[in-house]
Amino acid sequence: MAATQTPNYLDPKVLERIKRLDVRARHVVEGFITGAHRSPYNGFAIEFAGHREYSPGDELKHIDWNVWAKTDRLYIKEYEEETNLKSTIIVDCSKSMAYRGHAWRKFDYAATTAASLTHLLQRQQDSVGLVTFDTKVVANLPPSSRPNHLKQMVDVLEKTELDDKTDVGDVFLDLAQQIRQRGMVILISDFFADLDKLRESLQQFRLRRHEVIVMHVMDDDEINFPFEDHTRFIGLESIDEVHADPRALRKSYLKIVNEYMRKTRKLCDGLGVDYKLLNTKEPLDAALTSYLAFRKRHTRKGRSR
Amino acid sequence: MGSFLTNPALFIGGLIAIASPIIIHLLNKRRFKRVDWAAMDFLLEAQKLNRRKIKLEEFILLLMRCLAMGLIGFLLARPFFSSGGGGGLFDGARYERIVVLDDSLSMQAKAGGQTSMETAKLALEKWVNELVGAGADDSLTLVLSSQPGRTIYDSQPLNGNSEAEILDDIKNLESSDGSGDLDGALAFVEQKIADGDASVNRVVYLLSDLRERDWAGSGESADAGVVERMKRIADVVAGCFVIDVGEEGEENLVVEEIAAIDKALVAGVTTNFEVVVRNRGTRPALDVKVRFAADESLPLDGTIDRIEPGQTGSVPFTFTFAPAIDDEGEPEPVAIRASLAGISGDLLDEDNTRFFPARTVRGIQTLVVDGDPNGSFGRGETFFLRRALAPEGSTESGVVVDVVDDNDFETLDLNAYQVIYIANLYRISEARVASLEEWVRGGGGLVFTLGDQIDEEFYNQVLYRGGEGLFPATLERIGGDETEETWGYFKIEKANHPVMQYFREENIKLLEGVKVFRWWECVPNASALAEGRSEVVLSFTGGEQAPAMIDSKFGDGRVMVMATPMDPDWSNWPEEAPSFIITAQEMTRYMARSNAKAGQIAVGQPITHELDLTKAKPDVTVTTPAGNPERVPARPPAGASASTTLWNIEYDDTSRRGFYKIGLEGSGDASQERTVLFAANIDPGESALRRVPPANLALDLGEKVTLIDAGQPVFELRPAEAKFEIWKPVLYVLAALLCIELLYGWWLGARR
Repeated sequence: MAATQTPNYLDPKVLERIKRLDVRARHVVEGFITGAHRSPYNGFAIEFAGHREYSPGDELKHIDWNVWAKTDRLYIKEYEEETNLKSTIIVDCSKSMAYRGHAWRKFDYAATTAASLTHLLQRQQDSVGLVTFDTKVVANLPPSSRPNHLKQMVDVLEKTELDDKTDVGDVFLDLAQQIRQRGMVILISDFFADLDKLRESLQQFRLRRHEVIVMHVMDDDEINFPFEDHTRFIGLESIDEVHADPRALRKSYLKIVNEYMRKTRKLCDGLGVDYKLLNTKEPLDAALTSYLAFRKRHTRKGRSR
Repeated sequence: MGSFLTNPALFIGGLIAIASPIIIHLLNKRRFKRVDWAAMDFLLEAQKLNRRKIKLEEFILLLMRCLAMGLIGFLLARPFFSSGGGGGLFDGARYERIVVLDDSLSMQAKAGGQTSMETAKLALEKWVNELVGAGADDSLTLVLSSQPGRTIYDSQPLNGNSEAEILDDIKNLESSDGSGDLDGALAFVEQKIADGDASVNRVVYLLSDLRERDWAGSGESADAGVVERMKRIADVVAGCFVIDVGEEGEENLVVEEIAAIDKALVAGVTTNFEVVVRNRGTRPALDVKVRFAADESLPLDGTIDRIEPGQTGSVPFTFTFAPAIDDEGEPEPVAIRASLAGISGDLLDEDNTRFFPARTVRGIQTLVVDGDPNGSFGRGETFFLRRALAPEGSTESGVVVDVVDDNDFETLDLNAYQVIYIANLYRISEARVASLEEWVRGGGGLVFTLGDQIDEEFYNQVLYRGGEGLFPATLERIGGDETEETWGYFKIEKANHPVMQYFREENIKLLEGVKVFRWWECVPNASALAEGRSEVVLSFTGGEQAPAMIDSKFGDGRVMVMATPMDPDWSNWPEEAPSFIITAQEMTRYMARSNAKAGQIAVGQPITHELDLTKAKPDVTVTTPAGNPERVPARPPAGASASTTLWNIEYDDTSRRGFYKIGLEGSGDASQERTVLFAANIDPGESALRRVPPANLALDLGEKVTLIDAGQPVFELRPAEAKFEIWKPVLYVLAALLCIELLYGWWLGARR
């Protein structure tokens, strides 16, 4: 099947129409694997997913015939012992994640990303756990590689209510203590929180030698502030209101927001934390790609030890 | 507000409209989107950083928009500055200087060394020099009160190129001899301003000597024409000034009239004149010397002892006109002047002379219709009458007599005669009665002498006609004594009647010898008597007093009835030659159509003279008082038939007082040249030099019209209110403001 004829499983507009998260996640992963995305790491996902190109002399029993059916190319599955990593995906479910711009809520994007990553990791026979939080830990599924674990995670994500503020301080400290076994931590949040507390929290993870990926989810409206008409902005997590001509505030807002994102990135860089900004308007391959890149770096390091 | 805005109401509208941008701004704020926003902290911080700046930017935009609305209202209200309000910034504005100059006769009054006209001219010259010297770039419009319907100068630029010509013209201005029409000149100016460009700054100056006659009613009543017109003009111009160029003083004597006592001016006959002088001053005039001069004859002098202020005095003159040179045509007219001599303290000399065109006639053309002709010497009805009217001899009686019988009478042209005697005529045809009535109405004098031939029924029914006809009485019967053994006498009923004036004092005896044996008993028209249209001049004594002479007015003419014939049939009157002749002569003169007033016109009144082409050529020469001859063609009357031989000579330029001579060249059988004389005299009213009290006039003129004395620096005065409309600068400011607002809004948008 030619790649151009497959649906764009990574397009948020397409995904938004898929209401079931597990189905949505599967679509994302399949789309990513089959290369139906715009990621510059085209093909790299196949490597990350434990595949490598067939070389003469490889055993035919390790050929992934599903991939061949879809791509007409021969790939060998990697064995799972090469990828034995415990991952914990931490998803912000505070009220701020309820913001919906053009397509879907930030939380929906975050949940899809989390489910997709889980799906991808489980294909690698990796263990994946899920934590949802706002001012506290809302749900905590310990890492597992069982087949129905994804279903559980999806279930938790689908039932999550967004009704409290964001507080990364104490929550992350607790989490850091709870996740004892060294592994990978993927944080998916809009990080509308105190940066100092965030730093402390991430430091805790790093001190426990966790590999941390920060996926900073923001709506395109929050990034570009495209509003034109007189607007009354009502806070999702506060009672503040701003009634203004958005054009008059745009420049300053963008400056502030970009500065915040820069600081967040810098903070992450300083702690050796991978940072990826996710725009909810953009396809989900960015999230998966960043995970792949990280995974690759980690795998190489692991091998080199 | 109305003092700097042409349309204040529109400005108020603009002020109200200033609220519209604010209202729109507030309405826009009510329309907004609602967004539940997550990144509130960032937004709050952004708002905090920009609050002041945003408010300032919005305020500036709002202010510009409000200002634009206000400016639109201001622009539509057509604002202007007055010259004073401009703080001197606009003193260099251009003006049209409209000068109305009163050049009536009274401006020639001289008090204090120069005439009012000279004062006015000096002021004008000074002003022209000043304005040209200052480079004012103004224009001059000059209107004279003697020529109220035209401009001498119309918006003539005042600059170096025109200065010399204007000054020369001013120098040559002269007062007219006429009254002038100040109100008419101002009406012309008022209309000119109304028809002109409203944006032009105009200043009106009226130079006048403030004579009461010109400012009729000024200072006394509200319906004064000149005052009200000046006030109206002041409402629409930048400045309005009345400059008093006159001086106080009213002492003035004026020759008001040269009256011919005798109605007919007859060549070769002595005529009585009376010269009337009026004292227009405030003090009695004593020993007023009057000189009477006719052509080149030696002048006659007379003195009026005393003339009270406001009253008239008169002095008689007797003058014998030269006899006619030839037997044909009319005698040459005589130019008579009456003037005051040797008077002092008289402010106006120009009214000290009056002109009289004595158009003498060969004699009073008289027709006598003989109703009882008789070829025997001394027996005809009109034998004595004819001789009494035109005695033979060298002495001219001044009466030219034609005698006809009733047959010839029916076809005669009555207009050739001034007086008609119908002597004892039985009847007259109805057509002739009609033409007689028309002739008398036109000014003819008709005398009936009644005798034994009269058909009283005809006279009563046709000539009297119930009081509507010519005849002033009904005939009853013949009274008196047929046997002539008893008689009546004449009794004068109206001693001051012109026919009876000679029979006063001792001369009454001349009538007392007249015996009248028979007469017609007449009953005068009672209503005519009561109304004064008829009067009984003579009556008969003896028995019932019956009218002997009835004088009655009919139209412009007169009818006289002698109830007894003017022959020896019923009286001995012809034998009493003095009274007979005097009565006949005086009656004829009295009944004659006066030619004394012919040819007298007022200055400015056009001359019209009928020309008979069978006697004179159509082109004539008019010689003015200045001695300038001018060829003037005669023209047929409008609507006249092509075959008419009676054309009109019309001459309009009679602006100077004095004699105007029309020289006619004979045509056809009449080959000699002839002169028709006219005399243009001033309006005696111009001689009244009393002035309107300046203080009262200033009050009447109000605040907008400034009354100043000529001694003040007249034309250095700045107009009280020159309007300088500033809508153009306002428009530019508005356009600039809108551009700035547009650019600023765009820049703000681009920056955001």
